[in-house]
Amino acid sequence: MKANRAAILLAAATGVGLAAACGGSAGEADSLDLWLPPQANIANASDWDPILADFEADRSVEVNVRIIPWENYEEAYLTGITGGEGPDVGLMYSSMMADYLAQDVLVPFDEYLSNADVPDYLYLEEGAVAGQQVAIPLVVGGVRVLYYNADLLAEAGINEPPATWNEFLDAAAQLTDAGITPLVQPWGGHSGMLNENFFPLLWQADGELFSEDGSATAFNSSEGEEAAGFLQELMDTGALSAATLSMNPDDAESQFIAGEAAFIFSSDARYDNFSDGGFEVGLVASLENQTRSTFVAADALVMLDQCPDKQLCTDLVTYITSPEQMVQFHELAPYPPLSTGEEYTAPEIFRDIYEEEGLLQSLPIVPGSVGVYNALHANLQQMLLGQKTPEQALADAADEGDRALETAQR
Amino acid sequence: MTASQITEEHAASARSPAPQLPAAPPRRGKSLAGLWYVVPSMVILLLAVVAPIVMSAYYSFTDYSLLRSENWVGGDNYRELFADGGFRRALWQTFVYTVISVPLQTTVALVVAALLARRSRNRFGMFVRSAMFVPVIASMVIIGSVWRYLLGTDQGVVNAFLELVGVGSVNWLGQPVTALLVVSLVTVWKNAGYFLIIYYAGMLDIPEELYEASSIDGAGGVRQFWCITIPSLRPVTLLIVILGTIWSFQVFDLVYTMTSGGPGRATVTLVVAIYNAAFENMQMGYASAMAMVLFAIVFAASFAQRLLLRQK
Repeated sequence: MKANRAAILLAAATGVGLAAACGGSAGEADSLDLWLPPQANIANASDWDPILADFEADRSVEVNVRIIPWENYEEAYLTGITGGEGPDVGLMYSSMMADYLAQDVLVPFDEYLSNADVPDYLYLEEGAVAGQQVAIPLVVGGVRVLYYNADLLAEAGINEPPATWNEFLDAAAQLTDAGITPLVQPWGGHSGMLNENFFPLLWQADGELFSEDGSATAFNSSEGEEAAGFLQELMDTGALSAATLSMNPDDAESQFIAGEAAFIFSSDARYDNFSDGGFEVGLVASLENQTRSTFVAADALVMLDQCPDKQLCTDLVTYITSPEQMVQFHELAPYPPLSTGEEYTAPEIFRDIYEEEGLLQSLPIVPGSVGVYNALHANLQQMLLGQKTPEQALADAADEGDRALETAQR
Repeated sequence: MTASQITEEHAASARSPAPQLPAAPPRRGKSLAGLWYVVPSMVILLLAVVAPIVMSAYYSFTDYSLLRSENWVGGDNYRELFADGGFRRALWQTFVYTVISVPLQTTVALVVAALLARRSRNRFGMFVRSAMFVPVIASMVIIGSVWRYLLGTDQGVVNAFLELVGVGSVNWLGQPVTALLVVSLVTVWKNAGYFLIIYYAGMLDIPEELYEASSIDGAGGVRQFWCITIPSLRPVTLLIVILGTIWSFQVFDLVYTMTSGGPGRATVTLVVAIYNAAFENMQMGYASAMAMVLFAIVFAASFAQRLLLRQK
């Protein structure tokens, strides 16, 4: 009854370790296992049937799709791979990919792409590490933008949405004077929230998360301090309320939809929810400081070393990401096109954002990065609690993050 | 019959020849038959309990990461562990959480059980017992989500009530001290019903004559509670305290759902730290070292319980 999750997972992991030692195979060449998360309107494995039907018929292979909920996505991979029951091909996000790459579980596609029918990809570099094509992006989307409630801005006498950090601070002050909560930001959740809460600010200040070779953190810099200082100023001036530290994404979103706050940084996937809020919703792609920049997710398909037929797995990936299949995929999950041969079917309001040169940044593939993000998140929380200055928070996060990188890359 | 008579009878029976008993079946065969009965449960116990503990102990001396074969690193994980401020903090927070939740849940369960056993052995009492047991059978994740909603700073029911009575809203889960306190109190709410049932069963075993006799001697309800109920329930209380302590050191789901360990790691407990090391940082060897420390604490608590019970 009181068995805790970690203990169970630890026991399961050791259990499957034992099982693996006794044998077991990754699968036969006439069947492939494909693990994916739910995406927009794709919740069941059967939703992939029409997309995969031609490949299965042409190659006489059965593709077994398993949809894994986001809540235990990485755990499923960890325990599955350890027990020899992992997928042949799967979707990973950058921080996850990095750790699996460091553990030699992933096989780069380079050797097999030359024999495959490769589309003209737009974001192929997002899956490249040290000159190797480790992954092929499947979902490039979820761009983080600044949404605003135009009715509340008008109520506070703001006619134009802010475009720069200073304009944002001015607007926040005007809103506060008018008795309107300027910004809701979920700092009570997990470190994934940094995608909208901090990384864009760091990039807008011209800062970087990691050194070029990924062996050390780089955010403990004057640019990082500027970004953290901006956050601190939002807190000090009341643009962010103290409640931000207990807020999760659902709390923040429901407050914005209820018309209780003027601004929220969120994903393009939330646009429909916000536009149903009964007020005029607008968006700013990125605030500008030294530059304009914001986060975009680049979740990609990877090939695992247990794939029995590497060419077949590569062919499956290029087939899924081909313009013909992506048309079907994007009908259910409206993300921007992946290759030049595909029409843009995502909401029109985001077209310019996806097409703007140099605006979007995804997270680099760096082994140990999860430890860095967790350290940064916790230290920025402590800064917002008033326990640390921006300089202290970044220095402590960098210390802890560097240790995490060293351990992961050892 | 006096004591000397009893002694003489025993002495007489000792002098008389022993009665002839039928020949017992060979002991060895009997033992083997018994062994076969316990083999299935022994195998399950070995595989499900002992093997993971032994493997965790082994992994705690390696750099195991789940995905890659392990290398022996000796005591490095333990050295790193005791130098790790994050681990010491998690241990301290788990201790604080335990110190708040265990005495409170024990007291609440004892007092309510005493009231029900002495004054409400009726349908109302049954209703209270059942109502208090509902949180026990509810999923920890659901409980965490519901309380998170109730304690929300801007839209929570608790704060709406506080504002209604003029106290003003409290950022329950957004401040380090209140966050840990709230998680501890929700634990009390969740566990009290379970311990109430144990206490209630224990109270039904206390002879009614003790209360009747003390009433004749003029003892009131409070005095009876202090001088009869509490001393009679000593083994039960010991069990509840030890069980509560073990559960507290294992807390994970509630913290994970309500605070994710925040704000600023103020509610990271030992098992949350183990989870983070194992499944977020992939340091399974390091996580195993933490798990072994947890095992040592739980083992010590269980050993203390056995020792104290034996003393009685």
